Amino acid sequence: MNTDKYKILLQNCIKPGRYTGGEINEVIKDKEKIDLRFCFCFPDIYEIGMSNLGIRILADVLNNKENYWCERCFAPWTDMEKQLRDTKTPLFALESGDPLSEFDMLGFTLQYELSYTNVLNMLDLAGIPLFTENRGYDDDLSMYPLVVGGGPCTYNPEPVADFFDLFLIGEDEESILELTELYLDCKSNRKGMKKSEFLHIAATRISGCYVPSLYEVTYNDDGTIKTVAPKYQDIPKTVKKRIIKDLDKVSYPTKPLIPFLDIVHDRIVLEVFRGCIRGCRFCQAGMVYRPYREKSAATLDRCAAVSFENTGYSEISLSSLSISDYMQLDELIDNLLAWTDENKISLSLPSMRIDAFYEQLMEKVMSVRKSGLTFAPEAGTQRLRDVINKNITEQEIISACSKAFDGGRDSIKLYFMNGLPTETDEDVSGIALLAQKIVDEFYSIKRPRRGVNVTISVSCFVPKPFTPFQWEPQDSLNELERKQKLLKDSIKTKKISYKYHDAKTCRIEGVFARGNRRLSAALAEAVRAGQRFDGWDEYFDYNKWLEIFNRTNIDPGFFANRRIRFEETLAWDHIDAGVTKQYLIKEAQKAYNAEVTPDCRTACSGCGAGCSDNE
Amino acid sequence: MEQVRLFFRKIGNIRYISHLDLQRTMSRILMRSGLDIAFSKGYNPRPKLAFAVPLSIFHESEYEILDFKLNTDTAAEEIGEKLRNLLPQGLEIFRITEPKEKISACRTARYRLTMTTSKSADEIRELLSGEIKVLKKTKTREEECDISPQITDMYFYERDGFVIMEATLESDNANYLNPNYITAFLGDNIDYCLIRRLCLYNSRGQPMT
Repeated sequence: MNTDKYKILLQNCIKPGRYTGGEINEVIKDKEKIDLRFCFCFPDIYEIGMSNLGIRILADVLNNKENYWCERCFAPWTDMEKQLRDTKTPLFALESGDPLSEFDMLGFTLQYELSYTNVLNMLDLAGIPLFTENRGYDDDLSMYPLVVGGGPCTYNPEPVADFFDLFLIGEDEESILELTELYLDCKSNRKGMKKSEFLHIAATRISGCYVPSLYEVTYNDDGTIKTVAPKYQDIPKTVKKRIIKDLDKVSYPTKPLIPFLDIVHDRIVLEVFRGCIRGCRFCQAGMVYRPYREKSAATLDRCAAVSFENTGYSEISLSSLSISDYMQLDELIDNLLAWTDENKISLSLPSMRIDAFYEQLMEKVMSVRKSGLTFAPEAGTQRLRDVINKNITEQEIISACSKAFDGGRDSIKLYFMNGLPTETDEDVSGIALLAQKIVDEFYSIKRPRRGVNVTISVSCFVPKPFTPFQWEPQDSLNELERKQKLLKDSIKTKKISYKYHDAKTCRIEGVFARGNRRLSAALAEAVRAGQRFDGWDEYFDYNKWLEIFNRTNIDPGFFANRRIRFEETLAWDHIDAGVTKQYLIKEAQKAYNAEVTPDCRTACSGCGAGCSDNE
Repeated sequence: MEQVRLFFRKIGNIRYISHLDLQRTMSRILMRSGLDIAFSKGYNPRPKLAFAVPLSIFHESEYEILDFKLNTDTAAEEIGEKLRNLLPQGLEIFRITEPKEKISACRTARYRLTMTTSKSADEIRELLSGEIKVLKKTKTREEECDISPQITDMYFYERDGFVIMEATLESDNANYLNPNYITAFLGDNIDYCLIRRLCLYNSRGQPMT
C-alpha cells in the first residue's frame, strides 16, 4: 500500500510493520477491476491474527475469485489507536490502505469472548456505527459495509448479535462464496435494494446464515429466555451449521503469506482433519467440529511440498485436535520425513493424547529436532478424568513421560483445569501428586546431570455452549482462587513449576460464553469506557467490568455461575451445531456418575453430528 | 564463489521492517532459493548470515551488505537469478561479489536526511553548526554528550520543498552513531524526516567492497 498518508502515524508506532502490508505472497489487485471488496478483520494484533488458519483459508477462497479482492485488518495496538484517534484517521486495510468504510463486507472472526470489545472498537475506529440498526438497516444495501461474523464463538453469537448483520455458522468455505455471490447479484441487478431485504433473502437462501435481527427474543420475569422465534414464516427456526464433506476437494492455501514480523505461529500449517472422535465433556471444539473428517496423507504431503517451495519455512506443523487419531498418521509422517530432513525442516505436532500410538510417533519426530513436550491430562485424579471423559489412565501418563525421559528430554509441560464439575479438594491436590509422580519417575530411571522440570499450567473451567457441561455453573471467583492457592500449597518441590490463569479473566469469559442479547448493552458501554484487549493482562480490568455490568443492570453471576436447568431455553437453542441436546444431556448425566463414553471408533454414541457411517 | 557478499537496497515501505525481521526474511529467502546454503551447526540449523551495520527501522538504504556461505561453488549470475524474484518489494540486489574485505572493516556511513520543516536549509545548518548535545543511552544510564565530533562532511540544500542534509557518521562497531540523534536534536524544528543511508565506507574512506 502507499503509506505516504500514514507516515507520521507509523513513525510513532513501536511496530509499524503491523500496519503496512507488503509481505511476500501478499495479494494485490487492481481496484478498478474488482467487483467485490472484502476485508477480514481480526480483533487482535497482527502477530496473533496472522497465525490464524481460518482467515488464511477463507482469504484464499475469496482471492481465488478474479473479481474479488480480500484484504486484512487487525486490531491496532494502543499506540496506533492513539494516533488514529488524535488525527481522526479512520482504520484502514493493510493491502490498499483504504478505510474500512469503503469495503462491501467486513468479516470479523470471533475466536475468543474477550476479543468482543476489540471488534466494537475496530468498528468505532473505522467510523462505522456499532449497532446493526444504526447502519442503514432500511436504506440502500451499499450504504455501509455488511458486517459479517464467523468463527467458534458464533455457536453462541447472542452477546454480539445486535452488532452483526449476519453470521455464517460452521465451516465457511462454501457459504462465504454463496453470500458474496448473492450480494453481488443484489447489488448489481436490483439497484436500490434495502439492506433489510437483502438480509431476508440471505437468511432464506443460504444455509448456515444467521441474521439475528430476524429473530425475536422474549424473556421470563427471572431473566431466563422464554422464546427465540423467527419474525417471518420463511425464516428457519434453527440455523444449521455448515460443514465441508470432502476435505480433499476443498481449497487450501499453499502460497501462504510470509510475515516480516515474528508472528505467534510462523510456519507451514497443515490441517490434517476436522472434528474429534474423543468426546471430552468440557471441550467445545470436540463437539462443534464434528463429524470427524480426514484429509488423505497424499493430499497433505503434496500440500506441504508446494507450501515449502512457496515460502522457505523451516517448520511444518500438523494441525488438528488429537493428532494421534489420524488413521494415516504413519504414512503421512513417513512421506514428510522423506524430504523434510534433507531440507532441514522440522515437524511439529499439536498437543497429543497420551496413548500407545504416541510413543512410536515421538521416536520418529524426535529424529529431526527436539521441541518441548506438552500433554493435557486436564484433571489430577482418575475419578475426575472419568467425569470429563478424558479416557486416559495415570499409568499411561507416567509411561509416556518415562519414554520422553528415555529419549533424552528433561522438561515436560502438562495442562490442567480447575473448577471442573464435581471437583473436590482431593482432585485439586491430585494435580500436584501426579506431577510429583512424574518427577519421581524421572529420578527412578536415570542419574541425570541436570534436573527435571515439570510445568503444570492450570486454567479455569469455563462452561461452553454445545458441550455436555453447558448447563454447569462456573465456580465462584473466590472458590477458583481458593483452589489455585490450595494447589500451590500442595506442591512440595521446585522441580514443579506452577502456572495458572487469572480467574477473573476466566469469569468474564464465562459471562460472555453463555450470554444472551442483553449483554450487548454492556459491550457497547465497555467500548465507550475504553475497554479493549481484554485478553491481554495489561489491559484487562476486572473492577471496571464489574462497574460496567452494574451500570447496565447486568448480574454477571446470572450468566457465569448459575446452574441452568435442562428444560430451560438456551440463548443458543436456535443454532444447530449438529450434536443434539438429548445426547448432551445423556453425557452430562453420565458425567455425574463418572461413567465414561468410548470414542467414536469404538462405539457410536449417537451424538447427531451426522457422520456418513452411522447416521 | 562460495563466500558470497550481497549488496542491496532497502527502500520504501520495507523501511518499516526492523533489522531482526529483515534477518529472518533474508534467511527464509535463502532457504527457498534452492541455493546450496551452508547452515550453522547445532540444535536448530539456520543459514549463516552476517550483515554489515544494522539499519534502524524507519531508515532506507542504498547500500546494505549481507554475507553468507554456500557449500558449492556458484556463479554470481546464478545466485542473482535465484534470489531476485523472491525478494519483497523494496529490497533490491545490485551487486554480488566475493568479499574483498572483512565485513567488520566498515568505519563510516553516509546518510541523507530529507526533512519536512518550516525552517530553511541555512537555519538547519546553523542549528547544527556548534556542539550537538543529545541524551545518549548507555547500558546503565543516560548521559548528555556532544555528537558533533562523530559527524563530518555536512552538506545542506533545499529541493522540492524539503530541507536536505547529507553527512557522514561514525559507524564502526565501537562508535556507531545513529542518525536518529540528529533528528532528536532538531526536535520540533522539523515535522518529519526520512533518513536514507547512502553508502558504507572502510577506513580509507572508500565504499565497502
